[in-house]
Order: sequence, then C-alpha cells, then structure tokens
Amino acid sequence: MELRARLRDAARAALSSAVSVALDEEVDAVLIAGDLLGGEDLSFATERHLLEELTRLRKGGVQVVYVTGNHDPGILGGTVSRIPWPEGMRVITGPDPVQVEILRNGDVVGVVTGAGHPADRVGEDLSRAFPKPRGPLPQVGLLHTQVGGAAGEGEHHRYAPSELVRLERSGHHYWALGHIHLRQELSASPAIHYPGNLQGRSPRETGAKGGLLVDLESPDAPRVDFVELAPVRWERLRVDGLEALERTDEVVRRVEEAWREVRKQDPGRPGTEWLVRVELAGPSPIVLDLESDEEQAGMCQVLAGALGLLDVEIRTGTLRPLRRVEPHLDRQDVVGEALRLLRELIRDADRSPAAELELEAADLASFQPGEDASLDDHLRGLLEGEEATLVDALLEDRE
Amino acid sequence: MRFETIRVEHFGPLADLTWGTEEPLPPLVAVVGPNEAGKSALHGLLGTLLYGFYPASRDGNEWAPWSGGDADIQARVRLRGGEVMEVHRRLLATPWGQLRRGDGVEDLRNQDLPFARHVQREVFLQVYALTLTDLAGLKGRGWDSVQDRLVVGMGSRDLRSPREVIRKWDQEAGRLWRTDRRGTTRHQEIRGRLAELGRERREARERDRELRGLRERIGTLAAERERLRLRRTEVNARLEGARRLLPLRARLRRIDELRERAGDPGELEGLPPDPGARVAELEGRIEDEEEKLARLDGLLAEARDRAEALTDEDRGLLERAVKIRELSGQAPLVQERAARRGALDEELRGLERRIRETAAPLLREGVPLPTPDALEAVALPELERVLAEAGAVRDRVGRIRDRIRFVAEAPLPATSPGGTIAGALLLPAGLLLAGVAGRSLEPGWSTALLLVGLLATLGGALLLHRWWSARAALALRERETAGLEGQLREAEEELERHLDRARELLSALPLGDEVRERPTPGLAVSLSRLREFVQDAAERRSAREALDRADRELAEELDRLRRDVLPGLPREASAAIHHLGTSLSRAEGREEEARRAEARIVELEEERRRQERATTGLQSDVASLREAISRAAGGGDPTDPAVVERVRDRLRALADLRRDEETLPRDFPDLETLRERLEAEGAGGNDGLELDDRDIARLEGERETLQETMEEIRAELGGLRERLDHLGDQVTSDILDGEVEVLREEEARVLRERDRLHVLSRLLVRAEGRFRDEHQPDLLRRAEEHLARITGDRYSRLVLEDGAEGSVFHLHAPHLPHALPVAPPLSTGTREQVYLALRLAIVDHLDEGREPLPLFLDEVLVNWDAARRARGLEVLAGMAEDRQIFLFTCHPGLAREVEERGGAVLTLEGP
Repeated sequence: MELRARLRDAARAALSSAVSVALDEEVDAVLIAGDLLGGEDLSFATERHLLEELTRLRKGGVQVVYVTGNHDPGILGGTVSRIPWPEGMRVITGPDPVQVEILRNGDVVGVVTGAGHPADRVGEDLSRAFPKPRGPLPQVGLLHTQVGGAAGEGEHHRYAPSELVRLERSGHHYWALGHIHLRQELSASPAIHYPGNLQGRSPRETGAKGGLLVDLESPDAPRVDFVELAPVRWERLRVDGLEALERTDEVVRRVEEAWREVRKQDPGRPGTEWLVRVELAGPSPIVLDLESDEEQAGMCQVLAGALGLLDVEIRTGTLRPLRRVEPHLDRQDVVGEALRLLRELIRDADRSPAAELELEAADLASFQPGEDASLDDHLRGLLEGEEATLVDALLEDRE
Repeated sequence: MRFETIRVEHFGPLADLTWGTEEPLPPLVAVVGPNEAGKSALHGLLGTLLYGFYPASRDGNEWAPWSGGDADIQARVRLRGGEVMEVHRRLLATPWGQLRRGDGVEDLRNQDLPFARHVQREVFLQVYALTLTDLAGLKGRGWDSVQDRLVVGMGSRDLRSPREVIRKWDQEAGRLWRTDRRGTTRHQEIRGRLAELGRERREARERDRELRGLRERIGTLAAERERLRLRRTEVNARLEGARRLLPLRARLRRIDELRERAGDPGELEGLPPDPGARVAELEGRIEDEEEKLARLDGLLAEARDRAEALTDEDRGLLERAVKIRELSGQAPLVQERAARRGALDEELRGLERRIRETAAPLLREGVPLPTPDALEAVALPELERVLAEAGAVRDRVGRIRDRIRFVAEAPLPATSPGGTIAGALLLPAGLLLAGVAGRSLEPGWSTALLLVGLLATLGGALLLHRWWSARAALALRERETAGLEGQLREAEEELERHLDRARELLSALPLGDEVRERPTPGLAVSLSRLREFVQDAAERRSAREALDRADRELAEELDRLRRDVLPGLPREASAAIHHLGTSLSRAEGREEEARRAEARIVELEEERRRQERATTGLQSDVASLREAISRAAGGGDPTDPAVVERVRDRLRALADLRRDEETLPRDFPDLETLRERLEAEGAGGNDGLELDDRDIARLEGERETLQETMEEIRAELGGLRERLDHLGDQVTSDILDGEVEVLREEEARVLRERDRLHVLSRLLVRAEGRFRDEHQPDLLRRAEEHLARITGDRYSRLVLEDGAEGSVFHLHAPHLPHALPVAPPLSTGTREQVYLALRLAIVDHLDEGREPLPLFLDEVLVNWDAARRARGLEVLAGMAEDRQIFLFTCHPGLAREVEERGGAVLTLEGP
C-alpha cells in the first residue's frame, strides 16, 4: 500500500513538474489529449491537486486546452462537468471539433482544434469531422484516439479509432494524441505524436515518462522534445543466460550487472526512483531455488539495497529447467512420447490441441472466448517452451 | 544368458558349494530343499552375480557369510550368442568384482554385468525374481505402479512415475484455480481481496463525497465569514471615526488656541517658564554667594595667624633637629653608662683583693706587686712544663729510694752448713746403694737396698738444692741494689736541672726565697692566676675611663645648646635630653601647622576669586532676565509683577503647545491619514463625526454580534477542517485502484499458471495413454498366449479395465457370461496362472531383442492341478530354450518333473 501511495504521489509530482516546465519555458499553451482523470472515482485530494496545478498554469498566463477521453468522458453530470475548472481553461467535451485560438501578447499565434469524448465508448472516428485548416498560422489537432497500427494498441480498447493516413492528410501541422500510454511518433511530417502518460502506472508501463515540448515556430518542421517528468520509473529487466549459474548469489550478481549496463545507456533523470521487475528467463540449473518465495524475497532485498531501487520484483514465468530436450525426443518411453506429442501440437497447425487433450474453454481459467485468440492458439501459447519442463518433471536425475 | 557353473565359497548360510562342474547347468534348473535349506540365499546369490552386492558394504549386507570371512561367489555364464565369460565377486571391506571374457579381464567393482544393464536391478528384483506372493499382491494402484515402471517406462532407470507428476501438477493447478468449490484457491483469495478492495473503493468514494460536501460547506462558511468580516470592518471604521477623529479634532483645536496665546516663540526664546520666580531665585543665590565671601575672609585671617605662629627658639631647635634627635637617642646610654661605671668599680675592688691574696704567698714581704708587663714576661707555659717534669722526676726519685729500701729489707732462704754437707754425702751414698742392689743379690735384699739407696739419694738432693737456692737469692739482691742506686743518682741530677731552669724563668719576679729555691708545679698555676687578675683589673680601669670621657662630651654638647638655644635647659644630662626632645616636637608641630595654613590660604584665596566671579555672573543673569522680561512684555518695568505675569502666561501656552505637538503623533500613529480623513470629513462627508453615544453603543453591539458569529463560523470551520484532514489521511480510491491493478495482474498470472499446469498435466495423461495403448496390447497378447497354453485354452483373453481402485485385469472366456475380475472368488490356482502368464509376458517384453536374463520362480506351481502344472512346465521348458529358469521348491516331486524335462536339480541340504 505504501508503494501505491508513493506512485500516487509520483503522479501528482509529475503533473507539478509538467506545469513548472510549461511556466519555465513560457509556453503558449498546454494541450491535454484526454484521460486527464482516471474515471469517475477521482479522489478529492487528487482533484484538488489537479485544480491547484491548472490554476498555477492559468495564473502564469498559459492557455490550457483539454479534450475528454474514454476515461473522463464529457457525460452531463459526470466528473468533468462537475469539476470547477480554472477560469479561462478550455474544456472540450463534445464530439464536434472546437477551434481555440492561442494568443501571445494579445496576438493569435496558433489554432488548436479539438474534439472530446462525450461518452465512455465512442466508436466513431472523431477526426473525420475536423475541418480543413486554413491560413498561415500553426494548426494543431488535439484528440483522444486509437490510431490503427500504433504500437501498444492491443493493450487499449479501440475507442474513437482513427487512421494514420487521414491524420497525415488533415492539413494540421501537429497532432497531439492521447489514449495509448506508450510514447511514440506516428509521423514526422506532419508531426503526429502520442506523448504517453506523465507517470507509469503499472509494471507494463515502462521507460521514461513525461510530456512533449513542441515548438511550432516553423509549422512545417515542428521541433518536438521529450521532457522526462516521472519521478518514479517502472522498468522490466529480462535476464537470461543463467545456464552456468548454480547459486542464487551468482544470479543476483548477473542481474546487478545487467541493470548497470542498461542504465549506462539510459540513466534516467536525476533523482529517479526505480520499480524494477526482473524477469529471469531461459534455462537455469536452479529453477526451484529461483522460484522459491523465500529466495526471491532475499534476492529482492539484496538487489534493492545494492542498486538503490525503490522496489524489486522477480518473475520466473519464462524460467526453464536446464534440460536438453533433443536427446530425449527419441526415447521409447513416456518422456519421449510426451515430447513428441508436445511438438506435434505446437507445430502441426492441422492438429487441434483442444481436441487432442480433450479440453474445452470452460476447462481453462485464463481463456476468454471472444476476447482472446482461438482456444487452440491459446493452448499452443501455454505449451510453448514447456519441453524442458516436461523433461525436468519426468526424469529423476539432473543432467 | 545361462549360468553354466556356480561356485560358492561363502555366501550367507551357503559355503563351499559347486554346481555344474561336471556338466554345465541346463536352461531349466530346479532348486530343491526343505525350509531354511538356503533357497533364498541361492536366489540372492544369482541376483548378486548379476548386479553386485547391495548394500555395498559388509556391514548390514544380509549375505555376509554366517561362518565369518568374506562373501565369495563365482559363476561361468554363457550368452545367447555363445560367448562365455566368468564372473567373480567378493564382498570385502568394499565390493570387489571381476569379469573374465576370453583373454581379457574387466574390473567390475560392484557394477552390473554389462549384458544385464538393460534391466534395472530394481526391475529385475520385482519382475524376474518376483515371488508368487509379491505378484499376487499387486492389484489396483499397485499394478498401476508396476505398469508405470515396467510398461510406461520400459524399465527406464531415470523415469519418475508419470502418475505422480500428473498428480503433482493437478494438485498445484488445483491450488491456483479449480472448477469446483473445494478448498480455497489462490484465485479465490485474489477475488476475495478484489471484492474487499471493491468495498473499500465504495467506502473511499463515500469519503470523497463527504470530502466534497465538507469542502462545499467550508466554501459557504468562508464566504459568509468574509461577508461578516467586511461588515465588521465597516462598523469598525465608523466606530473609529467616532472614537479617533473626534479626539484628534479637539486636540488640533487646542493646539491652535495655544499657538495663538504663545504668540511669537522667538520673543520668548531664553526665558524660563516662570521668569519672576527665576529672578527671585537668582537674587537669593547672589545673597548666598556674598555670605560665602565673608566667611572665606574669616577663614583667611585665621589661616594667616596660624602661618605666623613659629618662634626663633622654634627655628633654632628645628635647625638643630638632627643633633637633638641624636642626643635624644643617647638618653638610654647615659643611664647605661652610670650603671656600667658602678659595676666596673665593684669588679675592680674584687680583683685587687684577689691580686693581693694570690701574690702574698709568693712575693717577698714589702715589695710592690709586679707590673702586668713583668708578669707577662714570664714564660708560663714553659715554666709549667719544667715544673711538671721536675715533679715527675722527684716522684721517681722517691720510688727508687723506696725500692732500695724494700730490697734491702727482703728475707733470704734459711740454710745451714751441716745440712749442706749431709746432702753432699747422702747423694753419692744412695746412688751407690742403688747400684749394688741391682747386681745379683738376693731378691729381698736387693729391693731393700734399692729402696734405701733411692731415699738417701733423694734426701741428699733436697739438701743440696736448698743450699744452692740461698746462694742464688743473695747474689740477686746485691745486683738489684747496685742498679737502683745508679738510677737514683741519675734522677737526682735530672731534678736539679729542671729546678735550675725554673729559677731562671722566675728571675724577673720578686719571689720569696723559699718559693724561688723550691718551686713547685703549683707556682706556675698561681702565677698564671695572678697575671689574669692583673690583666682584668687593667681592662676595667680602661673601660671606666671611656665612660667618663663620653659623659664629658655629652655635657659639653648640652652646654652649647643651653647657651645657643635654650637657656633654661636643665643641668642634669637625662633631664636636659628629655627637655630638648619635648621642645623639638612642639616646634615641629608649630612648623607643620604653619605649612598647612599657608596651603589653606592659597585654596581660600582661589575659592574667594571664584565666588566673586559667580556673584558677578548671577548679577549679570538677573540683569539679562529682566531685560528679556521687559522685552517679552513689550516694555514696562521688569520688576513689576503684572508685567512678569503676562510673560509667564505666554510661556505656559508655548510649553503646552510644544507638548501637544510632541504627543500628538504618538497618540495618533496614523496621524496623517486621520488628518486627511479629518480634512475630508470637514470638506464633505461626516462619517462618524456626527455620531452620538447612542449610535456608538448600537454599533458596538453590532460588532459584538458579528464577532460572535464569526467565532462560531471559525469553530465550525475548525471542526470541518479537522474532519477534512482525517478523511484526507484515509486511503484513497487512487491507491486502491493501484492495488486492484496489481491484483488483476496477479490474477491473470495465476490463471495462466494454472492453465499451464493443467494443460501440461493433460498432455502427460495423453502421452502416457498413447504410449500405453501402443505397448500394452503386445504385453497382454503375450500373456494371453501363455495363459491359453497353461489353461488348455480355457482362458485365452485378458483385459485391463479401469476400476474405482485403478486398473484391474479381467478374464474373458466363451463359457463366462461376463468378464471375470482376476480376484477372489476366482480360484487361487487360476489367479496364479494369470499372474505367471503376465510375468512371463513382462520379462519377454522388457528384454525383447536383448540378452534374456534368467528368471527365478519360487513355488509357482504348487497350487496347480496336475494337468495345468504339466502344461506350465512345458511352457517354462519352452521358454528355457531362450532364457534360463530357476524353479525354487521344497517339493521333490516337482524337482523330478523338471528333471524329466531335461532340467537339472540342485539339492540343498536342510538345516
């Protein structure tokens, strides 16, 4: 629970940092592409913090344009409509595009066109309604959308789906997008970006998190700089090549080396706290030790202390016993029979693992009919890489 | 393979046994013997030859020789291909083994024989050496286990039971998730926690709602408080107008009045607040100063008198002060000298008396005493020495004389001539008699003569000795007397020499004749004393003269002082000295007083001059003051009280004005603002300035009410904020959302892990079934063949069917209405026939294509009827063509049946 509280505080701190950067950089506007709120359960404290920071922006003379997303839809009477937004902040909750002029010293220096999600499950492409920009001023599109083909789209619901080609041809100089938490550039010209979220929320949301600082002085060649803002970073560290390591302390040293090597390339902003999920992978001669809760607790403690990490978690889901499978494939016993059957089920697309193993969807806990792939593919996914497990389970002696 | 010969040195109860040396053992061998004959030992021996000793140490190995020593067994073995080899094993401290193949020898240690390695020792013991009881006991899960090992594993050494693996995976998967509701799975725990978190989230939402309500209420109250605060400010402003501007205006008006009364302050410059009083005070001070001058004049006169009080006599004394103090210092000496003079006179008288007493016995009568110089001229030390030596010599003379007298008077030994003659006669006579007695006389006579002779000799000798002694004593006295007389003469001459020297030394003194002629050592003493007395007397006379001289000098000094300074000075020296000291002290006192008076005169004169200046200054001040008064009054007589009073009133007004001007900013810190407001009020509005006391009371009441209301709001706000803080400390939905997310991820992981295990379990079940399906039919087919031959085709079909307790064999036969389980009530013999058929099928299956290992059968045919036993033996004999079979039995009849079929019989003796 302390860790979760730390993450909540980190999210607030990231917002404060973003506001400070905006004020320091004297930006003309801050654009928020939806999902500013996590849902209807926005806590009072978070709401207060949010309003304080937005008010700070407004008092600093920064325009704020915010379009709603699927998590904070503009439902009448919903959270967005209830919040007393700071005066002058532009909140766009409807699907119809709204144009907002961006002023600098009273002069219009750009136009932002945005559309919001009026409900939590918008199925249509909102970008279709965006008007064709006219005039010499920089034109920015602001939208919460799932662009087809974007990295990480599988992790998000396909709300307000749009097509990259349509955005590219829209005539906007820059598209500020929201929805997918993975920061990415979909197009360089025109610039189409997902900035990702300010603070990673789960072990899946790894890497540096922050915002994009966009300079549209040259609208056709906008300059886009990423500014890291998250005080806490999630990271996954996959460590394999454990075949020769026969003691847990050797594995710990290997993990330490791997972490230090990775951080040489990406040290993170000064003061970053790290939440690291170490994924031990591949064959190992000490799988049972590494899977032991007690051993893992000790390893996590040592790693956190040695590397100065906020928290460490060890996963061994892809760890396999150190078994060579090939020599056992021709055995005339049940080991050989099981290995051969496993390979047949995985490799032979014509054979149905479900039928062969007499399994139905109801027999499985992790299979969601309709949402996941087919039952056979799901079973093949479960069986993938388990040859060594079979060998290790059935044979008495270690090799 | 086939054991052709077996040699037992020691093995358990077996010792020194050999089989097959004459004729190699055949494929079928019956081992017969009563109970405890060693059949089990032979059974173990054959297994040991194949697989070695277990356990591999002498301690605890059941086949350690009962007779002691090392287990030692050998055998010759022929393989199916005809190869012959010899195996030799011994159980020493560690097992030892050797395999001879052709010309080569291999070190076996405790390893399996190479051609037996395709069948594990455990499998061999369970199947190839299975006893009837063991096999009959296998059913249900027991049989499943045998199948796992023998069929599914095909005898693999390293295979775990697939059923155990499946069971373990199923259990693990069941702990994570299961379709039924048995037990609490990890998934259920997660769902439970998620439900709990859902409840907590609802509570958090409730808290949020309350927070928002609180916030709203706080906003309302804050607005109300702000409104009240503004009203209170307004009321305060009006009250302040009433309370502060009015007094200020009064003060300012009074200041204007005072400024008018004071007039031009320059005209009053330098005037005291009360000029009349000041003039009176100055005049009083002038009178005081004049009185002080008069008093100073008196003191000056007095001081001058004291300065002139010193007389000429005082000055004379002061000039001779050093001398007078010196004389005063001699006052005690004057008295001491008087006392000393008396003492000296007394001592002189004593000394003169002693001189007379000492000199009288020594000197001639009528002669004067010798002078000190004459006495001093006598060499007394030498005289004393000479007289002492003379005394000593005189004593020696006396002692010599006494000795001479003593020697002369000493008696000599008595002697007579007759005795001397008699002795001279008796001595030779005795010697003669003794000599005669020694010459051949009669013994009696000879002795008597000898005795008489000896007595006569002795008597004669005594008489001669007495005479000789007297003669010697006389001669000695004569010599001693002559010596003493010589000494006496020498001593007397020495005495005379000493006396002459003494007389010489005393020649200068008028001594009496007797004394001069016979001086004694006491004379030196007396002369010494006399000389001391004379010297002492001379010293005292000299001292007395010195005293007299000092007194004379003192008297002369006093006379001079008397003549020059003090005519009245007493004549007596001590009194005069005392008088001089007293007079000098008085003169010095007067001199000191005059000196102090002169210093005082200087001080007084300075004081008088200062006093005169002060008086003059005061008089000048009075004049100036009166001039200023006159000027401030605009003319007039400054001594006129009315004029003075006018000036004093102006001065009071000016002082009040300045005090008011000074205290005004302090009393009104925001004076300028107030003044502006006052000016504004005067110019236009009149807020507060028109209020009366009743209005002020009303406003004060309203302000009090406002204050109370604001206090109530503040208290409520405090409570609300406290509640706000409390709720703010509670867990928020953000945090719960985070935990929900983590739990959902864990749930997904758990479900996937469960499915992974479940699918693996299913895969293994399927693989095992597939393998069993592939291999089990062959096993059953072989068993069916054996069973059909044994039972004469009565039972030819055997089926393994799953039951509640696992797989169970069933018999199918045309005469049976339904499948019959191989279990009671099926007859024991038939069941044993089924088991033997299965066993034979298993061993065939296990080493198919490899070296067939021997089969050991223990009492397998005893419950069979004769026909089936004969067919069974036929089956075994047929198998023995390819695999050596040992039948262990205690029934000789069975052994004979084996022998009839070409088998060999090994007989073990009973215990």
